[in-house]
Amino acid sequence: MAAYDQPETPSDRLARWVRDHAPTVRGYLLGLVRRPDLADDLLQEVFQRAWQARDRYEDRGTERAFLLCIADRLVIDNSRRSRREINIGDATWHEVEPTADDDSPLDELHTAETNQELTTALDRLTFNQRRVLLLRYFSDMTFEDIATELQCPLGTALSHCRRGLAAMKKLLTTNEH
Amino acid sequence: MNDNLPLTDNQLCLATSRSLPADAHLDSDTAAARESFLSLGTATESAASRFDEAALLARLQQSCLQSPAVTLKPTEPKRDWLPLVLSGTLALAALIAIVRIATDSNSAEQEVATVTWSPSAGGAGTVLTPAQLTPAWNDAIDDEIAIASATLQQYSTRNHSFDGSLLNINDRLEALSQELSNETL
Repeated sequence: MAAYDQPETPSDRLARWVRDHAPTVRGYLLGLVRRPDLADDLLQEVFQRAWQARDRYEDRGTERAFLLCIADRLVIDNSRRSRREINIGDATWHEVEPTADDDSPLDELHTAETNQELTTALDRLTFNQRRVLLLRYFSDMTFEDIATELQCPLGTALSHCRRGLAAMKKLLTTNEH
Repeated sequence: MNDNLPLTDNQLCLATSRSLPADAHLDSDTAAARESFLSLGTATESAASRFDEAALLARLQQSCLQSPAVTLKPTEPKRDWLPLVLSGTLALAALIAIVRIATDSNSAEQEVATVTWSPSAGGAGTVLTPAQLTPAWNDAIDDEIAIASATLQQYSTRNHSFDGSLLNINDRLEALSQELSNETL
């Protein structure tokens, strides 16, 4: 019982954030920027910024939504800075994707298949369609909140979602045939 | 070629929810859309799960927790003395000016501009110079006023003398009239 009464130390809090949310935030970043090295850099920056503003996250709902909103804005800032669409080919994807040395051949095969599927899927989607679908998937935010984050009307956010799902459905149908 | 799914907003919410309510019933379109949505999310999650979480945490602990804390060191107050000296001088000058004005005002109230004159002292034909007026002051306008006042006194003295002469003539004429009337009798 005494353990529950103790306040969470800053170190524990940071460790919990990373444990609970880092894979999710990295997934969102990877889905948008599609470069693991850039996603890792942005991931660290997301947590640093969130840590600096940790007293304000209560105003923005859950911790995960707070982190994902920071991630979304960092991606937008990054793409504006670079002034180019970050969209690399499959070969480059495998070059920059870090792989662990102790992976078995079966794991590597599975990873390659997953990356291939993801690359194919993301190629079908526009940037804003990816934002809407991934925010919805990773944060479970309402469409109203997503529209606010995207700074667009609710109907536009819903339209991005519909079109993105249609593209994904078409991809799945093609794969089945 | 239809690029848009014929789903209502409610169906879209159900298709893109990771956990469905127990009583949720999905039609075929919604279920297919949900399958597409989950496949995208799962693939992204799977691709993103391969990273060194411990290394990230170590970097974050170094940058967030062990970074030099922003403390307000009690540094020596870096004062610029010039504005302080200038403002002090200005305040002192203002204080001196106020004292001077107050002093001048009090002395002016005490020196009431009075011009004393008595007919007996002045006499007919006596010209009073500003120096003879009490109290004397150095203001040029006051001097002019005093001179004008003395001139008026002279005129009034002359008038009085003239009136006296007429009275004397009148007395003499009365006396002559009496003498003439006595001689006639």
